[in-house]
Amino acid sequence: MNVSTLGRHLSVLLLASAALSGTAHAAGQGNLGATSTGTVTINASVPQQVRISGLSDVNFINADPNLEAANAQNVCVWSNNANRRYNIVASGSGTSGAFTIGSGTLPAIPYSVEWDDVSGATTGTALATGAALGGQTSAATKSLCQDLTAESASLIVRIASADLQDMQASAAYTGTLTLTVAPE
Amino acid sequence: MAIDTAATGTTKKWGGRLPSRFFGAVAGIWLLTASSPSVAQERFVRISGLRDIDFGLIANFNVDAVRSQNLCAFSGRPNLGYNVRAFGTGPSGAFTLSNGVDRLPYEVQWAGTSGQNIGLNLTANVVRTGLISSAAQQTCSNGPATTATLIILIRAAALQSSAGGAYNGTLTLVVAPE
Repeated sequence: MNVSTLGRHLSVLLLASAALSGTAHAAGQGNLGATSTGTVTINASVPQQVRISGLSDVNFINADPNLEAANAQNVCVWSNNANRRYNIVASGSGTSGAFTIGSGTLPAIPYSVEWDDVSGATTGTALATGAALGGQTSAATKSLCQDLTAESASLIVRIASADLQDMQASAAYTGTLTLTVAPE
Repeated sequence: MAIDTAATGTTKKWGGRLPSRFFGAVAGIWLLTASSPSVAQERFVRISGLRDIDFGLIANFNVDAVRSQNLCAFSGRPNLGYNVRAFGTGPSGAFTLSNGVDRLPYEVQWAGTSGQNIGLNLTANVVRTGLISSAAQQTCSNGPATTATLIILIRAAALQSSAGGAYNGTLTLVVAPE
C-alpha cells in the first residue's frame, strides 16, 4: 500500500468516524474558547387526554310530586386535543345501564340526563344511556378548569312529575350515574 | 567613509553579540511557546458531552417528567471557575417547547457535579455564577469523564394544561470562565 492509498483509507476512516460520532452526539458540542456554547434538542410527545371533574352528588329531598325535580350543576371537562373537542357517554345503574334509581324491591324510577358544553345551563342535550354525544367543546385549558371561573359544562338531571308520583313516600332511592368523556 | 565605518562597525557589532542575541531570541520564543497554552487556557472554557433529550410519550400527567445527563464543563481558570447561561427557543429565550401551535414550558437545572438529580434552577438568559469544574482536560478525556449535570423538568402542572402533540425545542448553554 503506498502513501497515497493509505491517505485515502485514512480519510475514509476519519469520515466514517466523524459520521458515527455525529450520530452518537447529535447535540451541539462547544468549542474551546473564551465562551463555549452547546445545544441540546429536546423532544416530548403529549398524548390526547381528557378529564372530567368537579362532579357533585345529586339529592332530591322531599321532592314535590306535582312538579318536575331538576338539578343542574357545573362540571369541568378538559380535553387537550387541538380543538379541545370531546364526546360524552353516560350510563346509569339500572338494568342495561338504564337511568333509574331504586329502593330495594320497589319499582325503579327513571330519570333523564342532559348535557351542555357550557357552564350555567339549565337545559341541555338529552343523553341516551351508552350512546356518545359528540361534538362537545371545552373552554378549559387546564385539566381542573383552574383557568375558568365556573367550570366548562353543565349536567342536568331530572325526574318527571309523573315518575315522582310513582315513588313511595319516605323510601330512599339511590342510583349511580357514570359519565365517560373521550377526546374527539 | 563614515557609512563604511558604520557598516563595518555594525558588522563587527553583530558578529560580536550574535550568540547571546540568538540564544536570547530562542529563549524568548521558547518562553512564549511554553507559556502560551496555560495563559490562553486561563481564558478558555468548553462544554461538551451533551446529548439530545427525548422525553418520549409522556402519558402520566400526574408526575413531573424529568431527564438528566452528565456532561463535561471545562474551565482553564486557575480556580477552575465558570458560569453558565441558558436560553431556549421560546419567546425571549424562554424555556418552552412547541408543537407548532402550543407551547409546553420546561425548567432547567444545573449541578456543578455529575450524577445529580436536582440542581440549581436556571432562569433563561440569566448567568448562574460560582460554578467550579473538576475537569482536568477540555473534553474530560483525562480525569473525571463528566463534571456537571444538566436536568430538564416538565412539571405535571404544565402537562395538565398542555395540548396533545409532538413538541420540540432547542436549549442553548453558554459557559464562560469566571
